[in-house]
Amino acid sequence: MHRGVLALSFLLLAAAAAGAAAYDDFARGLNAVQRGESDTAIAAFSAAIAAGDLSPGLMPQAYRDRGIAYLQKGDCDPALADFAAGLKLKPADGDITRQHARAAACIGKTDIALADLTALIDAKFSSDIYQDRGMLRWRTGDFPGAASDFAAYIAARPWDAHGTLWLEMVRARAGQLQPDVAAHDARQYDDEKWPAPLLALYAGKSTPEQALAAAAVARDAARVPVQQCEADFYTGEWLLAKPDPEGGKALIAKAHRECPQDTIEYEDAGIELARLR
Amino acid sequence: MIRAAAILAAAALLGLAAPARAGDDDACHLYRLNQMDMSITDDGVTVPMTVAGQKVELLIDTGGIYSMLTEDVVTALGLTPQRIAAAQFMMWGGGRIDRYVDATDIDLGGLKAPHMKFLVMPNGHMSAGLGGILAPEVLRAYDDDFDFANGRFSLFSPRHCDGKVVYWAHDWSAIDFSVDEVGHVRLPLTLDGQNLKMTMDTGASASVMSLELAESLFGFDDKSPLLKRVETEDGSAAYRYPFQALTFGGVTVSHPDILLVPDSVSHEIGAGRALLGIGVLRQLHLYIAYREKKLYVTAAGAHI
Repeated sequence: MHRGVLALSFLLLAAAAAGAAAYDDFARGLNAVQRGESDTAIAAFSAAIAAGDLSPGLMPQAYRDRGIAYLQKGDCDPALADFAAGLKLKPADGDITRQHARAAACIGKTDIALADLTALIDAKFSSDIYQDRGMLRWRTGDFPGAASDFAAYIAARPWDAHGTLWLEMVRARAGQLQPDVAAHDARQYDDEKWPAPLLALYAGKSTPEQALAAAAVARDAARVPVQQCEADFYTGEWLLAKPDPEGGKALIAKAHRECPQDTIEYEDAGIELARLR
Repeated sequence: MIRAAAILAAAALLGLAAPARAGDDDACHLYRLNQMDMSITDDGVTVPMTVAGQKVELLIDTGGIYSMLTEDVVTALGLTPQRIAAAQFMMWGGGRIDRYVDATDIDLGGLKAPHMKFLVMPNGHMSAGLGGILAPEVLRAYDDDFDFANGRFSLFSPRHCDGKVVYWAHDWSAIDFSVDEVGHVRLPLTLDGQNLKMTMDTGASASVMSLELAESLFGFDDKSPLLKRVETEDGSAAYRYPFQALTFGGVTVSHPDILLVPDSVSHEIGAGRALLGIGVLRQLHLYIAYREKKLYVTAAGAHI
């Protein structure tokens, strides 16, 4: 009898210890993914998932965050599989669906990504999703669709100067840019702050040369490379819309060469270059 | 400001009232009023609330002041914002708050209220999918139980015998805390042997400390080779330092990840202050007994 009780106690303690270890791995994974330490995060979440006794409520998050770690590494196939596993456990979860769209887009499954994002928009998940879908539509060459999405995004986020820059950029590519409207859109932003020189370009108030020159000036010198990257990309897109394909291509190629690799502009310059080939 | 406070104090919900105590014999019983699945994200911890039949995911924000819904959610729910007369608030990082909504048919894990007032938060201050925050004006009406290892958040009745709350473990630490003028929990802790007070902020992704405070406590300066600059989203300065141990009474978090931010940059935490964010907190099981002004704490997985 005593031995049985002791054995039972031992089992209970062992189970509790295993659960605690699974959660410790999960928490370690969260910390690692937040710090961009993808390999550590993947190992930690894999251990938490494999332990089998992570709280069921945390399993979808473990898959989601391991998927995010895979995305950080550019491993989009396992990321997509993880987001799908997360959605199986927590169907229609908005955040996992959004990540699923990112992973699908990453491996070229644009139709799946668009379907995910459209479902989120229909579910009124967040007006941020208009931005996601607008960027995806730009990537697919659906410039009028992208313009429509960015208009909806800016209606909900009127203070987002970079969102407005995207709106004018995709309008330009769709042949819908109206400089007076762009000037009206830009009036609410501080014209001393970046990206005012790029908004001024789209508003017809400056030239490409002026926009590119303005990028070299910043209070914090560390901001200059980012500004120059943005100036190359958005001015390049403006030139493509003119149309000045040679001038545009040259600047887009420069953006792809010189932008920090964790920027949207680096990635999108690569996509634009592929489209121009 | 006074007017806004009055509106929200009335909301302090709390139609989500605790049940009446059955009698003195029950005084030491612990009443769990609700229990919700809790998502643990980079932003913090979130729980679902239902408003007029629609689910809204809210950040539990012990570092907030008033509960809020985002503009997106207010629009999706078809609520009509009202101006707050003679008062407004500013969000950190910009954005004016000068409206509130009267949401109806509230269900927070089974706690129900016919009405609840929320400030309207400008869009863009929360991650996509988060519909707002649940702040101390609500949280302080209850005991708040954060069971990270099981992914559960519960509200308990504060009517219980002092000290009789830890249901999940045999051993725990109990820490006396103070509550500041806006309802934030200030905890006395020990970081690498130095005593300090940190504000508990479940709505902060990272723990943050004034660089100047850290320098004065630990005797290094900004040229210390141990201080590593980290990149922040807005390009402002922040640093990491290899802290070894953060101790909550008898419970220790090893190698706590605490960002050190110069006072000139961080207006959010205030000069000379420190915030305890979710990266550290999620390593613990926390039970905040606001009435007792005690935090009961164990390691997250230290369950019976």
